[in-house]
Amino acid sequence: MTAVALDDYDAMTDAEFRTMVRDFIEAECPAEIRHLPRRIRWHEVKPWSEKLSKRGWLAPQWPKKYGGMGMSVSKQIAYLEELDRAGVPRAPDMGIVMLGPLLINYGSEEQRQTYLPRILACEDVWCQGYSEPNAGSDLASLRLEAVLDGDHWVVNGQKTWTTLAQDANWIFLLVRTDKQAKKQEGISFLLVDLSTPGVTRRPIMTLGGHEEFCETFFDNVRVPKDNIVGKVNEGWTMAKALLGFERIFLGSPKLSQVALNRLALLGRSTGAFDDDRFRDKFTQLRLDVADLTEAYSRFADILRRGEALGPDVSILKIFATSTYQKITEALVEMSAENGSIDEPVTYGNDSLDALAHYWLSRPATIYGGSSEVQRNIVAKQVLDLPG
Amino acid sequence: MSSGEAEDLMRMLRDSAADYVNRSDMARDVRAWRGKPEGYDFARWNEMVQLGWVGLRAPERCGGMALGVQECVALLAETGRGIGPEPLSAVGVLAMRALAGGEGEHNDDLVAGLVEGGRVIAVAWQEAAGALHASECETRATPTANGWRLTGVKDYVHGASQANVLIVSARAPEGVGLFTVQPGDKGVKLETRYFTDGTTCHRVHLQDVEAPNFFCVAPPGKGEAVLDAAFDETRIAASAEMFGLSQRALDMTLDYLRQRKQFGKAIGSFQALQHRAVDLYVTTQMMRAAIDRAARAFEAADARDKALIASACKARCSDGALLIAKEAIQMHGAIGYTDEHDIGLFVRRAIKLAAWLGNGAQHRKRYAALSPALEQV
Repeated sequence: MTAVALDDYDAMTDAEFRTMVRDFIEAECPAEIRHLPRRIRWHEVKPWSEKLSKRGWLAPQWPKKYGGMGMSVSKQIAYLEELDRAGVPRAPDMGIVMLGPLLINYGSEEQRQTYLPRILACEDVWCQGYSEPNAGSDLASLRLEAVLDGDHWVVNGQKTWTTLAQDANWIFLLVRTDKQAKKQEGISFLLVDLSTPGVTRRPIMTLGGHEEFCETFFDNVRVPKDNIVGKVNEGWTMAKALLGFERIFLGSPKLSQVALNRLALLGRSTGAFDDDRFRDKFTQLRLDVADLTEAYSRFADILRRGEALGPDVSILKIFATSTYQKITEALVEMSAENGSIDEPVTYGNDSLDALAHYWLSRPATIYGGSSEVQRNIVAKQVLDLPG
Repeated sequence: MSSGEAEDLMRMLRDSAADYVNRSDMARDVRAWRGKPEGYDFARWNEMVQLGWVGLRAPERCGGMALGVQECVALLAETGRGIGPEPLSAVGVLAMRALAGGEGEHNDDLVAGLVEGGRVIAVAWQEAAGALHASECETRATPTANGWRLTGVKDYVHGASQANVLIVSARAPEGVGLFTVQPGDKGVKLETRYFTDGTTCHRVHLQDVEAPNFFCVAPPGKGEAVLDAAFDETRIAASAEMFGLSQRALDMTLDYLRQRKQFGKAIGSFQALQHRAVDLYVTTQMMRAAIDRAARAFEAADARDKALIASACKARCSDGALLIAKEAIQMHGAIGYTDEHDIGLFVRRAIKLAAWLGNGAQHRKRYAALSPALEQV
């Protein structure tokens, strides 16, 4: 194991820990990759990820035994908040946030020893193969099929919205291994080397003008039998259990706060703060972000106490993403014609690409369970409404 | 007090208030007393006094519980669910904080009277609709040999029915002071009107009313700061009441959605209504966030931050309560538009409290005007 983590994080106060993280970021994370209004690509972020790896900070939520930071939830939250505050980009991190915990919880020791060190060494970049053309919000109806043939699974079908698959060399898939079972019960987790013959990736251009995700095709792809994680046909249960900690982060105030700062820049540069309508709108949005931040920390406190989040955490994502969109819509509106051109405009010493924020905010109400799906969850599981 | 003890105390307060609200049929009380000049049942008020609710924020030397804004808010969020007509926040918070913040030598006696229940005290400060600050005061205080002579008209006074003392703001050459008068004093005339929820709204005419120095709550020049701080705390208190009544109105609406059947099924199974109900739930949770944030920070804040904190909270809660109120009517359908259904009582209370001491638009404007340079967001 590449366990470099010599620091005793639990012996530090949260404040000491934050200062240490902040100092490291200031010293080591280059300004040109910070505060980017788009997903960063692996070739751009790899040098920074390698620095984190060397420091032992690449996998904050993993146990120390496997090269993680082995920290309390409170410090994990502090760590992520410090990264957010400094505008540190989110690398293609599916190996760290999803596959790592999956293997640590459900994988074999051999799988852990094989895959985890390579993630920490920045050798392997993983992507997540969940959604399919006909399985989006209704993920359990996925059809990508894996059939056992001797020592191999033969995989056929298609995944889509595979985030940054073009930057990855491995994919973890939800595959259908039993077509007769009820839809949630015939699903398994399978690990696939993307260089295996029969795998094709086609990047998809987003409205924002970036290739953030791919369609990924599987045509008689032969995968070693042992690449199943956990038990066959129990993938759905594992996938659901993995959705704990990260559910709250989809409701983080971070994106809204960043966009609000941009709106303040615009108000300041254009004199819009002298306009009553703009001031009122700005104040409304500012208070939305303030109350979102308060609500967010209430849920974070639940995690800090070691308790499980209830289904009501969905309200965070609903409110956070709608706030975020309102702010980016105000950015475009206040930019007038500049808000109809896909390029940055200079304001004093600063610059703003209003549409980049607008585009980035559009899928926020779609990914990670659309706002409509979140409302369905709250209606039934929190408000106890029928049907 | 340790944090464990503080939590226990909060829980006890909340439980006793919840128990009180559940035991009594507050909606029936509201109906029984609405439009009556007495405004509420004095025996019931006395029960609240005995429970310590009125003296919650009063200092210990006056027999009060000396608890903080967080405890006060926890209590009012519960009593708010019950929408009783008693003026808990107008008397127990606004008048109480005006007295506690002033320096008058008689103030402690007045507070003790409130805590023991012998006195009901209301604050008559407002003159024009939409006023937010104690400085918006035209009523005059002219010096006399042993005090002041007050002349002017106050309006929109909350909690003055059954009050035996009124705290009146008036402008002297040195600035705004706070004085006390009694409803029966020579030159004092109370005109009773009603808010939409049926509780009293008084207009107070003052013509050459004698106010002796001894009963002065805050001397001229000191009254503004005292009242403005009391207003800001009351804004948070009213927000807590709106949070409570919004939760209850939403609960009633959810019950209705589960029970009411049309087209062969519960209307709560229709997604269009489910999603609207969820948005109302989100609204209540954001009200809660705003109140938690405000209650935690208020006491330690300076005057400007108190104003920012209170305005942020009142803007969120006024708008939230009004949204839930009108949606509750819509989701109840025609029955929701009738006076016989209780949901309307919640709507009316929301309308009154949303406007009291400034509505959402006013408070956003105030927040923006006071904000640390907007450039430093």
